[in-house]
Amino acid sequence: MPKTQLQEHIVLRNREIANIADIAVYTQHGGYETARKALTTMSAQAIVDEVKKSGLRGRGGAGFPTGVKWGFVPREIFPKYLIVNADESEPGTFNNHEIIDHNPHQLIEGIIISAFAIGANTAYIYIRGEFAYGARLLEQKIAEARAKGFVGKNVFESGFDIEIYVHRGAGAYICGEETALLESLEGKIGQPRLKPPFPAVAGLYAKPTVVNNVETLTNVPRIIEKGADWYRTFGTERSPGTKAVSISGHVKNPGNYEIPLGITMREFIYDWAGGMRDPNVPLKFIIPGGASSSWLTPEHLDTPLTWDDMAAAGTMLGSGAVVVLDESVSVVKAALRVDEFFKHESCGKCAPCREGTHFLVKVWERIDEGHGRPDDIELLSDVGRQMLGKCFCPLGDSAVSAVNSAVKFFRDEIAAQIK
Amino acid sequence: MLKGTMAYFKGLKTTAKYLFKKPVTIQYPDVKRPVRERFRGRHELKRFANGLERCIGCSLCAAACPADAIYVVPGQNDPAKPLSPGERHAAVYEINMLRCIFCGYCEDACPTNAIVLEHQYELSFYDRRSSIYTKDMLLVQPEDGYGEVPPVLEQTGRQLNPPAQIDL
Amino acid sequence: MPDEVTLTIDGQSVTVPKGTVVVEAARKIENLIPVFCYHPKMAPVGMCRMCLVKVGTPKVDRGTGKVELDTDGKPVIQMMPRLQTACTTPVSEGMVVVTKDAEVEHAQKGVLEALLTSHPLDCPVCDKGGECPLQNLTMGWGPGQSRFDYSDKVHFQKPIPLGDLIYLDRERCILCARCVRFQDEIAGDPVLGFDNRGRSWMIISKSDPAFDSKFSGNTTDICPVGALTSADFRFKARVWELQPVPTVCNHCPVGCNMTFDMRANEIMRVMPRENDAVNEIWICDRGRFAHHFVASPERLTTPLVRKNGKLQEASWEEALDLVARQLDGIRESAGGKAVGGLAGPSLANEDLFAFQRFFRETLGSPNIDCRPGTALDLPLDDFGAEYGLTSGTDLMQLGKGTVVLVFGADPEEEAPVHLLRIRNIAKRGGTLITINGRATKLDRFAEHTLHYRYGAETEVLAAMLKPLYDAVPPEGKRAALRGFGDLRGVLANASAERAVANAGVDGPTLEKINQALASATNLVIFYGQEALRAGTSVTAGLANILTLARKAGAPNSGLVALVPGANARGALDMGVRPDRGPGYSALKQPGMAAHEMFDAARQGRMKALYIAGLDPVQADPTLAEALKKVDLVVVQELFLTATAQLADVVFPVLSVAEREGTFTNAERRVQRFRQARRPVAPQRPDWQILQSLARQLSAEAVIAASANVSDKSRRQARRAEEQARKRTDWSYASPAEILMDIAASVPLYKHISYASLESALGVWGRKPNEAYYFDGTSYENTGGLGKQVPAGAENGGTLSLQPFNVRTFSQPAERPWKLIATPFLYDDSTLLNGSALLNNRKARPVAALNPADADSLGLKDGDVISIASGRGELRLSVQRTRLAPQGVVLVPLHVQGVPLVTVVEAGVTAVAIRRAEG
Repeated sequence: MPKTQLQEHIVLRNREIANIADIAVYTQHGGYETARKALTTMSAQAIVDEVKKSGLRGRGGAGFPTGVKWGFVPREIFPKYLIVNADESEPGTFNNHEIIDHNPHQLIEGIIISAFAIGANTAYIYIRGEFAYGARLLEQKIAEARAKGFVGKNVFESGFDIEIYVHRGAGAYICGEETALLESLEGKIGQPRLKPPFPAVAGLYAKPTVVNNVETLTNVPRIIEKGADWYRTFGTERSPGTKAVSISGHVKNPGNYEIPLGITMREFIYDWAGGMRDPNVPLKFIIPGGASSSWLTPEHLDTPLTWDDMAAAGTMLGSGAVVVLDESVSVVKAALRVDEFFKHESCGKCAPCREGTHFLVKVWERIDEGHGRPDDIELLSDVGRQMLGKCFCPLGDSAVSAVNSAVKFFRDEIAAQIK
Repeated sequence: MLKGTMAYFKGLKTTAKYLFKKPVTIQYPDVKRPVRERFRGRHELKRFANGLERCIGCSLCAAACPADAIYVVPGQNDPAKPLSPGERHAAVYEINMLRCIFCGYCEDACPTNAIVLEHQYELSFYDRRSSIYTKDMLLVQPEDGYGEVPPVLEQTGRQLNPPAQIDL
Repeated sequence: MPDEVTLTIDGQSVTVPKGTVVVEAARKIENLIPVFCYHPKMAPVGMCRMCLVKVGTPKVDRGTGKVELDTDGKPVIQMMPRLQTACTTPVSEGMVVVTKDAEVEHAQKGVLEALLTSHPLDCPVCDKGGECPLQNLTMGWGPGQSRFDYSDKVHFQKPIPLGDLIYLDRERCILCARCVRFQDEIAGDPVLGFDNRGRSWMIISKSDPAFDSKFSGNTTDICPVGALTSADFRFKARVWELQPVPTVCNHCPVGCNMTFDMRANEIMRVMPRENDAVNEIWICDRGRFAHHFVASPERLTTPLVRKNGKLQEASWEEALDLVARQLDGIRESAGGKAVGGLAGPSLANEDLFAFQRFFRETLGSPNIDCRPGTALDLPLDDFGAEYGLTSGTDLMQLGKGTVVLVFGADPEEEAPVHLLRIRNIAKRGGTLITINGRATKLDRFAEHTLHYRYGAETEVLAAMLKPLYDAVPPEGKRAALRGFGDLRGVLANASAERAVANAGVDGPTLEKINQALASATNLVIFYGQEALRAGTSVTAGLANILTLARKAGAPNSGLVALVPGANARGALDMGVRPDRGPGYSALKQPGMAAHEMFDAARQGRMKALYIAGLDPVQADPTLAEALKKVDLVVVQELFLTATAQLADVVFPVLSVAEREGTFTNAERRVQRFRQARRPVAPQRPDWQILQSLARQLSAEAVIAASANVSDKSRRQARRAEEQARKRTDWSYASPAEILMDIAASVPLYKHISYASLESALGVWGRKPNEAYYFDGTSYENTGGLGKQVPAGAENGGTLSLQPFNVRTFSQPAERPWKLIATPFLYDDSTLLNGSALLNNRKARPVAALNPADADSLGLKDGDVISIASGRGELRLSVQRTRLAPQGVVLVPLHVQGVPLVTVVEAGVTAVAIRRAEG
């Protein structure tokens, strides 16, 4: 099968237009004209409807329809907030990073349009603490936009005020979870909040708040510019559009690729990313949606990359981070590494996650060191069951997906290592 | 008459028979009868090999005591000069030997094997007050300490720990 | 009913109000869902995951919007895909909850196993052992064995002091955040927080000084493990060895229900006793940690008699005989009026009643007072009884529709637990209004706050009274208010503008306050020492607000006077005052007030002074001169106070822990305390000493009466003798009998008896298995809830408006500052003797100045200033704080090294401040 062609990049436009991060270049290519059009000629509701029609789904991981999320915001409560989740911390994910560093103005334009659509006059970009360059760059780019009158009071003479602030996180994975992000933004310890109330109703400072991923918002200007129908020419019916996917691991050409949704995993790995690093060492398993997703094996290679197909295969598209691992990898070491990450990032708020991740790591460690015990596989599964669905937020569940995948697909290998 | 005299000799015969046998009487208190290994005599409070008191003043012996013979007042260890491992020790430890029924429940209850009913059984008093044994009387001398620090707890970097049935 | 929801829990149907969470619904039917982080007094957080249950709701057909029914006609229940936390799931109609099945059990075992992986196995040394929810829940729900390696347990350095009073043991902490939430949600001192994350997550104190809260002890109670322990109880005893004896706190007018937990005749710790009408399940740190005065070695043990100018130990017979003979002699020679009596507001009702009887009946002296007789004396407060909180009012039940006005009071320092209760009313939807001369902690929780200029209190009150006054309809109602006409002239010029101009308050806020007062369903007014010190016009103004708002005598409304002393209200009720008898009865001839007694003493007119439970000389050393001129000074005390040192005879008394009696709190609830400790020395209760004296004196009176035969006829003599006997019938065997006498002679106390105070029935009770929630938290109240006596205004009849005047304070130009005496919880009261743990928290002898003022005078922290009023001068070092309003110097009350009495004047004290030389 020939490689599917992408007509044009929607979010990674920097791949097509050199120096698009420069505001002059960006405006040359129609930058901020969409925002002007939206703010001066369209109603907020029309924008929400257009986004709804486009079928844009949240790029942060859960794939929730963005337009629907915006629709939950109560109109009559003020102020409202738009939060840009740029806390890209999922192991294996680095696509937001590229957008921030190389296509920031499209993100800022997306923020302006989206804030107008939900009626928020304040937007916060909650950026991962490690993205020091990105944070400085964004501040600089926002200043540039402000100088041109795109950000600040009465932008585009539309009477709409928008302030964008960049807030750097302090390096906690959990702050990518939207309620933990809000807590952190409020200056509290970064831990998830009890839901309900959901952020759309009572989020930042208990006011209606929309939290959107960087990539989601970067899609918005193009959708408004070219229309929902144009957007739907990309991707599939239920997963329209493109997705910037980061691929890493044992492939020839790791990196970010903007793919039309719906291509198969096989096509993505072998045609887009150039296949396995060493053709003689076959593929062992794939972590398809970041460390928190369940694994796929070679038999799943024909699964299309859409939210629904991945869910049917028992995993998720997540934030778009495919990690490909070949036969040189020890399953126990891989699972240990994943669970160590979650142990390190567990916030400690709920007992099953705080202690469970530690327990899992201890067991993986002893198997890895050759002190495994005969009933350790059962123990891992049972501890997993005691965590799955019982933790405060999905982080605990994420730690279990590695355990369950490893036990499901590689039970014999683990058993062999125990003996 | 004769019959009576015969009976007299009959009695003497029995006496004569035992005259050359080893006597069964023990010359107590010069000689003491050995007791069985599991005999429950007077209590002792033991120490660890490093000389620290095993008793941590937890009062579980007092709680277990059916005769309410034990009185414990706990205290806080001076970290620079601890009497026992951990934060707690027995500041006062008294057993009323008149009350004690030597059932050994205190031994069972003790989480550190501090209290042991030993083989001493000579417990007599001139007055009731002296039937109360205080901690000084019950505690063994440092050189009589026993037991070692379990390796598991040594690994954790803590010092002065009793057997691994309790974290101190 | 629309506000009620019926659901099924484990097959049992239960109906609860809407918004209830599943755990609470289950509690109602005694179905125990295990919890750690959930606490019935705090908002749920769902952190510990212990309360996971299966929840299902009736399936609703999307098309019709109706509940689907199965073939039997029962609703089809759709179970949620995951287990839900019962503490955060609100009930809904038709909900089905399963709390006991294999899946739930598996989850519960998992959570407990997880918690125990980082919890040390040190129950034998842990102070919580024996009343520990973690122990209880592990026994009930935990796995028999852990699969986690014992050697993998975490170990941390311990203990970590969170403050002077509380220690943290990190290993034991299960990170439920109850303590942090208590500090945030209930105490309102958000001083605790978390640091780090994951398994290294730990509790830290964020304040300086560490754990700066007056309620910190409560966190050790609600901690479900032994992670937080109180410095006072660390390794003192095992909890099962303790014998809790019900008592009532004797430190402040709240009257918190507590227990003295006794072992071997010593108080091991103090714990709250649940009483929703008084203290819920909380007590403040002073109540909890300041019990050491009881076992202080400095307590007086035997009577002391002055011989050769020195106080020397004497027998009771000798001392009593001496006092009786001398009093008799003075009564004979100079008459009863030459004797004065002062009895403190911390004595029990029984003592106070006996005291006034002893003076009025036995000695025939009208001179009694419950104040020490210094320049700091507060006016006697009648309004707290007349317009007091109506009987049956439970502050815990008040919320929406209730307006709480706090005027001239700092409940945090004067009555700490009231702060929690006032705050809770605000949290439940009530409107809290604080009006003070300076910022207090309660301002943080208030909807409206006004800060007036000291001296202009009545201006604010007039502006508040005016709209209420005008709103009273002209016909009928006005006649029902006695004194209505008198107010007209006073309020003629009152207006919000005037208050803004003269008192410096915020106009719009005043407007909002007036609206809130006018629309209040319930109106509760608290006033404290600053309001009382400002004069009766201020308290009368508050009483008038209540009356004009037509809330006097109305349910759930009334005044609460925070008069210092655990039994200040009782002292006034018992008539330990010169102007009124027991139950506020009128007296034919009023006696001398305390300060008049000392004046008389200075002039040599006072022959004997009897002082019980007060230390006037400590407060005002100049009174020593007056005392020296008195022939006989008798002191009943716990300690050899400054006053006792000058006495001729000192009687040692029993403390609150060693005797029984009753206190009447600020809300006029009479509560009983029991004997917890055997006296270790031959001390006696106050009432008994008075009774012994009275008997000796009466015997002499009877003899005297029968000896006058020569002058009068035999019949007359017999009658006199009989009267003398009746008047002198002192045969109380116990305080209970005195209380019977009180009930007979004080109408308000008609229904009070020890039996009625003991009742804890019919109000509420803990469910049998609730130890799992509350173990180690507080004791169930088995000692009695006490009984609230009715307020005067409840009798119906005509209500009176009190005389109220607007006074403007004119500041003399040469003394441009105002000195305000501020009460502190941790002052130098003798009741804090021996409680060394609290020493660091005691109020320091400093003068607080606003930084701006300090700058204008060029003063730094620690500079010594001279504060001079028209009466005298005071030297203190400066503390710069924004808590002091501009133009005001705040000086702590009852603190050693601060001779406030030398400078204070009636009302506001104008002072001059300058840097002290040298």
